[in-house]
Amino acid sequence: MTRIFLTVLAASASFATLGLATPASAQIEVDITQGNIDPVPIAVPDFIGTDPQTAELGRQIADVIRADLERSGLFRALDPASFLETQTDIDYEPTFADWRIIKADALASGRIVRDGPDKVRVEFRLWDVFAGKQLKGIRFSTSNENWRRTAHKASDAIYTALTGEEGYFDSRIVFVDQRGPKTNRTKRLAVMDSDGHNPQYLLGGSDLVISPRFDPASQTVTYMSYETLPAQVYMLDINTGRRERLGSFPGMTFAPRFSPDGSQLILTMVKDGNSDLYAMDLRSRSTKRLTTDPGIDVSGSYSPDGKRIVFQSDRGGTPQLYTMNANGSGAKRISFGDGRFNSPVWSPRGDKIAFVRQNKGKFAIGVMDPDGKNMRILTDDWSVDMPSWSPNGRVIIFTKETRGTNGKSELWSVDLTGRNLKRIDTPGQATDPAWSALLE
Amino acid sequence: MRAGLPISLGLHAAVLWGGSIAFSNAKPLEEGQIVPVTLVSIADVTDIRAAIEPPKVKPEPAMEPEPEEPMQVLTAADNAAEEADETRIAPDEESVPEPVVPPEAEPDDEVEPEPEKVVEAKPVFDLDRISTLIDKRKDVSTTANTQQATEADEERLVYADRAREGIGTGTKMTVSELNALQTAMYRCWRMPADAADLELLVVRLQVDMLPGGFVRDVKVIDRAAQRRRAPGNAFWDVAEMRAVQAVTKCAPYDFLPEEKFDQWESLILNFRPKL
Repeated sequence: MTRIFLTVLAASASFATLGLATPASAQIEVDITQGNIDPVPIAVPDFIGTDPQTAELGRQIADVIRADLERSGLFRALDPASFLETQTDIDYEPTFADWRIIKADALASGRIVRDGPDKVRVEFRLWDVFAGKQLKGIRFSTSNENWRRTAHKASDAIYTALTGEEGYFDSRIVFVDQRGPKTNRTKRLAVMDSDGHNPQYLLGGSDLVISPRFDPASQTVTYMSYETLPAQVYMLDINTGRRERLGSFPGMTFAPRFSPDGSQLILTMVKDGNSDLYAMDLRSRSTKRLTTDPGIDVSGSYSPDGKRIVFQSDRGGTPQLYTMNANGSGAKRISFGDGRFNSPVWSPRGDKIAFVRQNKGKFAIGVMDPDGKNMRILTDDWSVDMPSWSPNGRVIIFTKETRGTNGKSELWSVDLTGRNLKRIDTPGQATDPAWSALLE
Repeated sequence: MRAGLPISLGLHAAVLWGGSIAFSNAKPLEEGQIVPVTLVSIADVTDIRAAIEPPKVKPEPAMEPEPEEPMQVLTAADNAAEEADETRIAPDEESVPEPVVPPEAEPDDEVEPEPEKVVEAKPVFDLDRISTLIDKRKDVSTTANTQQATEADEERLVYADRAREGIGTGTKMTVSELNALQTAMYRCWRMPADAADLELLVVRLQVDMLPGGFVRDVKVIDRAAQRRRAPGNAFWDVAEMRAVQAVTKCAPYDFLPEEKFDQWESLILNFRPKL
């Protein structure tokens, strides 16, 4: 199984000429090409508290961190019952041997210090157990109610230190909360933390909204509302609640998507019977036509550097994915597999494009390189749709609907490897998830 | 001609009939047992090298006829050797009686006198052998050969002993031994599987070991050169950390053969992820 390449650099030339080169002069060099990709075992003991309240908070924060890391699929949070050492002060080095015995690769130990009646300081240190050194020491000062976000931030810091990638735990997911039977559903815009906690409605009860899209540079979303017809496109700042109507666009079926810097929107309009992509400058509100092809061009999504756009077009006969320059030039087809490809979304990391493929009565969520290579289906089902990337481009959240009139709509996530398929708890049925950037 | 055809036909028929009678009882050969054969390609050069084998000395014949005597002579003082030389050089080459010359003295084609060794036989000046003094390669006199041979014998014995005692010092690590190392690493090395440009993230480690397979020191080497493969890749730190972790975590490497410690005392491990 392990493909192994041996290189024994025995200085063959010198052997040949000297004949008797001392063996010590030939250093063995071995290539290790295969390692495991198991989750990293990490120990996160309950954070130490200075009084009963902070001790309770410390327990809760450690719980959230363990759940975050575990949910990522990249870590295995070890059971606190297995811990041999009980640290009483995180300012001293832990007894690494005790953590090695329980096979922890890393240890995150922290404490909560009360800073005021409503303020706490959360401090933690991340240790590399095998190297016996500290990887990170971080301190957050926060109000009591903010403890969950603090825990997510700690998870992000751990994630970054141990994987090299930015985390995604301290982020939000906007989604459409659906109530009632399929024939008569209310669709309200809601938001929750990345782990599904703190769900809240963003708008009043009468809205019928679809396809929220996050601005990668702020906490603003665009969405389409069918509260009045024709459907209107809105922008909503989640932090302030400020809502702004962008207008109504003929033939638009999904809300526009932001450019990476948040200065432009890419949207679809039907003019003269032709569906094309347009870029709208948010300052001047002027629009510029990007595609002129007679086919149906929809679902544009910018690359993270803003230079390219991926979109769906049926110019070749069936809906397929194409990329083009941000000014509309240089269109190139990138999907060639069986089936119909739609809803492309460029990863915030830039290396992948997520899409929905419809083939033989099944829907699938997949990814491919921006040049169309390495296409991989991550999950398929009766109906999966609306992929949205986590801010670090490692996880995709999507809608999954079950068949039948009593079918349910749920939010699921899957990571880039396709392994870590998980349902995200929502208060009711949910569709159209949109993942925010990391919070400030 | 006409009679020939029927005769030929008749004879053929007779032979066939006779054959059918003779071989009617012939039983088919028993099915032989199938012997599995593995074809092994043999390397031109053996993997096991004698530690400090002197060049161009045939080891096999050297061992047998070699009694202890030459050793005794050689272990004596240098003078003794010179005396021996003198006494042996004096008689004519041809008149040297058989027993005096050890079997080894039969000029072995491959035993070429090494210059420095023959030089020691120089003190005796012989006009008849001026040419051999000039051209030492052609010195095939039994006297010089004896001197040279005894020295070579001694060396051979020493080499042989060393080769027996310390096979490992000159023996390469086998593929299976290195394979065991790689298998161990598979267990301990968590590849940064999600890293961008994963295959460029090659980490070179200098690993120094202690007997018993304990890690004395592990450090990243050629860091700058490696990092030029993927400049600015955010995963370098993690790739290096994971490689070092793997080496530490897998210790002790007690499966590595102790007798070859000098081979694995200092290793270079290239963590070269391949998906």
